[in-house]
Amino acid sequence: MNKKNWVLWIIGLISFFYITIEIWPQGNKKGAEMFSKVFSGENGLLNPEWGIMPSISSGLIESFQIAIIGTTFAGIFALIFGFLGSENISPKPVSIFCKLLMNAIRTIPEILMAIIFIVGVGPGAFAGILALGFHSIGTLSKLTAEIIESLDPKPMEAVLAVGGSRLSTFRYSAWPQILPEFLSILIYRLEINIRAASVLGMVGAGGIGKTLFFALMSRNWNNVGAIILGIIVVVTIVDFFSSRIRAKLI
Amino acid sequence: MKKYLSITIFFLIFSWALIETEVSLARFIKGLADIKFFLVEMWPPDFSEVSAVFPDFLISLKMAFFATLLGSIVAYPFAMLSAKTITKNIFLTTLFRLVLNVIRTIPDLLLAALCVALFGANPFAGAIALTFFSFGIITKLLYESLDSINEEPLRAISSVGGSWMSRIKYGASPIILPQFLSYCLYVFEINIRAAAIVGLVGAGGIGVWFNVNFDLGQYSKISSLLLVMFAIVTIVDYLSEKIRKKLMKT
Repeated sequence: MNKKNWVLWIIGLISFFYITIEIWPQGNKKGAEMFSKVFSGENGLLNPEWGIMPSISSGLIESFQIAIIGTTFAGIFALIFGFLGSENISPKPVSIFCKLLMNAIRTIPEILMAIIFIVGVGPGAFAGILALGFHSIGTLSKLTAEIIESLDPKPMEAVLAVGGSRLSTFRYSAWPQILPEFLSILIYRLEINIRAASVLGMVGAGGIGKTLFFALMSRNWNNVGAIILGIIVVVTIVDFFSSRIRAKLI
Repeated sequence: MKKYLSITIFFLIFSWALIETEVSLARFIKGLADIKFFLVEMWPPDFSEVSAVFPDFLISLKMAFFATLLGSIVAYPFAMLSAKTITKNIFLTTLFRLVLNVIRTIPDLLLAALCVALFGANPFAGAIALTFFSFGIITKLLYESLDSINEEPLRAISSVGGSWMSRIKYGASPIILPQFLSYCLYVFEINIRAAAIVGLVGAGGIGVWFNVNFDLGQYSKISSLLLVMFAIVTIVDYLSEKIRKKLMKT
């Protein structure tokens, strides 16, 4: 490690301690007591309430549905915006405009989008789908544009050289290059969205989040524990299948 | 054949989800009027309050910084313990990976809500939640890159009797450090966005003001906050990408 790195580390640590002092909670002296109350003990997280599993599983299924529909819709639009945003295919002003628009969409957090869509379509799963869908269009389009920009031009030239039309160039050289990578980012996005879908309900956008919100508000840690367990199981299953499918794709 | 089978299975799941969640284009179009009203209310953005809430923007930034630094420092040894190339103990690495997978399944907002219950509604709760979140991501990214590093230097160290510590210090660290720093910056980008929304569940930062303004119906103030957030996120992304490109060169 050279001298410059040491200086950076020291600056980092000093600001870290400064921030710690600044945000240290004051007047909350029951920390340790709260810990044991929330985690262990008869009413703690670690003693989940099995009785509410039926209502949890219906919430989890709804979260899964929200994630899968939101991701699919976003994928369809991301293909369109990905092509419009890629510098090598669409004209420069169009691609710059598309990229700016996508960046702007990505800045609005899913949970705020959910609140906006609840205003429009009312609380429930549909608002969650729209929120996840719109937010994912932003990220997926950016990644799709990057895939298209890194296309290998040689197979396309080959098809053109033997007299292929523009359509057949796309069908036989560009599309086979795009599809596996596109599906891979889509499935990766599903992993992210299943996590998001399980908390969207906290603002009223359907799924397990609603049950979670009520359990948290009433400080019913047994129920919270059971819900967290349910979320862990579902997300783990989705992650497992997703990583297997992605490994096969690439 | 297998291709058509997977497409069919996907379509069955997708249509089942569509029917269960009552997605309808008609409802969306009907809702557009309300969303339009909302968006019209948001324009023009009212910047009068921005200077008053600017300290909370800084708090969000500080939370992100705190979480990235603490999360990455803790992540480093844990990534070493989970990497198959460093720790030659299948039982140990599998165990650590399992625990890390479970930590990563919990969504950031849920972690924030739990921390609020533990530490009270303050920025400290948000910072700790983001720390856990960053820890999970950095550890995973790091052990995955450690799994694919060149093992020969490590073998050389082991063959002259080097311990686990010296394998890390002389074998892995020099190779992995630039990548580690690049992951930290990437997670900082994620944390900047997350730090803005954990306030929605009370965990401090600018998110608190989103909530307040929603409840008061001051939508033009929300759009001004979003614009400032967009500016901050863009600047941080730009700087971080520049530094990351430099790191990858060395």
